[in-house]
Amino acid sequence: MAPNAKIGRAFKKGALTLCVTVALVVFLFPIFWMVSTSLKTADQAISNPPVWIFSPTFKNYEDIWAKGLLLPLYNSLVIAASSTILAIALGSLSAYSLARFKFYGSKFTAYWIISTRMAPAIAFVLPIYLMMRNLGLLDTQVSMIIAHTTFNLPLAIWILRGYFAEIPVDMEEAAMMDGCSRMGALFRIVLPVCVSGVVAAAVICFVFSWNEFMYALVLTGVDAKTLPLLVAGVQTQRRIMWGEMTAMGTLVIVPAFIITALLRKHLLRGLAFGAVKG
Amino acid sequence: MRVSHRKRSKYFPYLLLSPTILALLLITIFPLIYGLNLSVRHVILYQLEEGQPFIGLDNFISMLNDPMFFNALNLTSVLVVATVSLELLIGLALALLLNKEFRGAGVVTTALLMPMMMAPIVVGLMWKFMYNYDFGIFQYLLDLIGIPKMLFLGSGSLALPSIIVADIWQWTPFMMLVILAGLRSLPRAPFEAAMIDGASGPRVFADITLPLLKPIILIAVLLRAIDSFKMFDQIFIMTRGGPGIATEVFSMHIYLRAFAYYYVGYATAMALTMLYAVSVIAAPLIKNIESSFESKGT
Repeated sequence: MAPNAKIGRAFKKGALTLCVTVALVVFLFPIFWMVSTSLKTADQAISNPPVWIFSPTFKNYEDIWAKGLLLPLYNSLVIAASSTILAIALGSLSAYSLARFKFYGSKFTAYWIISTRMAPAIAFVLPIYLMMRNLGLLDTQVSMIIAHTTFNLPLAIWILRGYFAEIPVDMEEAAMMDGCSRMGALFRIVLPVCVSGVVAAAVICFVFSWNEFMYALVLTGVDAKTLPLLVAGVQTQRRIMWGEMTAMGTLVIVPAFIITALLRKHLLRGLAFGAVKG
Repeated sequence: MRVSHRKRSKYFPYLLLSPTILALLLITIFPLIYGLNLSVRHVILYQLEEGQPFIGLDNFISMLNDPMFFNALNLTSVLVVATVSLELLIGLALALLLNKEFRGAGVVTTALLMPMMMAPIVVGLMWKFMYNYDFGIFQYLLDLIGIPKMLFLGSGSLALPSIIVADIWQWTPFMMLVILAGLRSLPRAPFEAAMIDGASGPRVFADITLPLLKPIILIAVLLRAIDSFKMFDQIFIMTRGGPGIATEVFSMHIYLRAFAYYYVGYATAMALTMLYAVSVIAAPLIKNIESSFESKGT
């Protein structure tokens, strides 16, 4: 009996290792392939059979830099940072209100806010395009910040509300006994205690804005062009420069990856609108 | 003093909400009203100044008479059903397999989070590169097992399945990790009772695990369904709705009507129809998220 159980356990462990390995290969190989292609020469990038061993070169990165990477990079950073700050600033007040108080219309407001987050961008993008056109704001960072706030503000509220609700009310009440106002309690107690939640919400908002494509496609062209638009734009040339495109793709995903690695525990919770505790 | 304090706190929740409500009214409700107005008018993008005559429900009627609309509806349904069901099946299987303590679990989780944090546009680009007919890695792999080259994105029958595969790649880890989080939070007692009763593995799974996981699975499925329903970026970069109209799903169809054919009024009518369809899926989702929030929040 004993050796059988031992073999059984070893078999189970082997099966687990095998599954983990296969899953990792399947989910990571495409990323590896794109990143490694970005370090190849133009000929190596499109060689068949593929080149596995090569001496890496940063030529593709130098080329995309020379073709004007700075402005889209700057735009992406400004737009993502601004819409994140806006979402967190307005969102933390609302999230606190929804997490702490039951009042007439609180449930309806919560429903309305989250349904805004789920609405398809294409339903807003046409009217927003015409509105921005009338206001003369097409191809400006302002139009993009406003557009990105349509999805980031509801998301921030929903994530923060979950974190705020977990803080025991006693803590604020104790502070208020000591003469702290409600606002003071929010800023001195709730936000500091929830700092990891606030950071998680901010990071998820930043990544969604950084990755966003449809508004960038419709609202911007030259001056407020963001990185995702640049990624899509390279392919409109007659001959697709795969080395450069994979380099662009790699640049766009690097910040998101660093953030993922740093905030693993909070990400899933944010992506599932707080329905899961990571 | 006391009275004024109480009075202030009565309006305090509304005061906190007011900036958000004001912002959302301006940036979402106002555009929607503007959109409703567009949807009942004949609006051509390059003739905006020449008038936008009121045409009642004509846009909606021509939408219902347009086979292209039903093509988009059809493709979107296939896309949603295929991606969500396959992601659920693979994700559930992986979650059950990985629901054990093992070394490096944290690193594995981080690695699996990577695909879903990638910009969809980059995911599309990456898969387009791998699907390439001349030098894509998939052609090489097919060649290794002796299968002739296949036209993935360029063929009417394979383009949509190829896009589905890319989406499964990006979002199966999400399903898996959500279900895994659900598995880890399950109460122990029912499982111990089943073990004492000598219930078999499959019975335990069907009678205890699945029913307990149902709420969280429902949330994950509906979230994915909504996202899949709206898919645009990957299709824009991989096929632009082609070849022909083989991958012209809803968002792509509406985008093309508005910005390639300039029928803004008509496109808005379709976009509002789509918004309504999404809200039908979203209503049960929001109820479920809300109840999971309330059960955990207290």
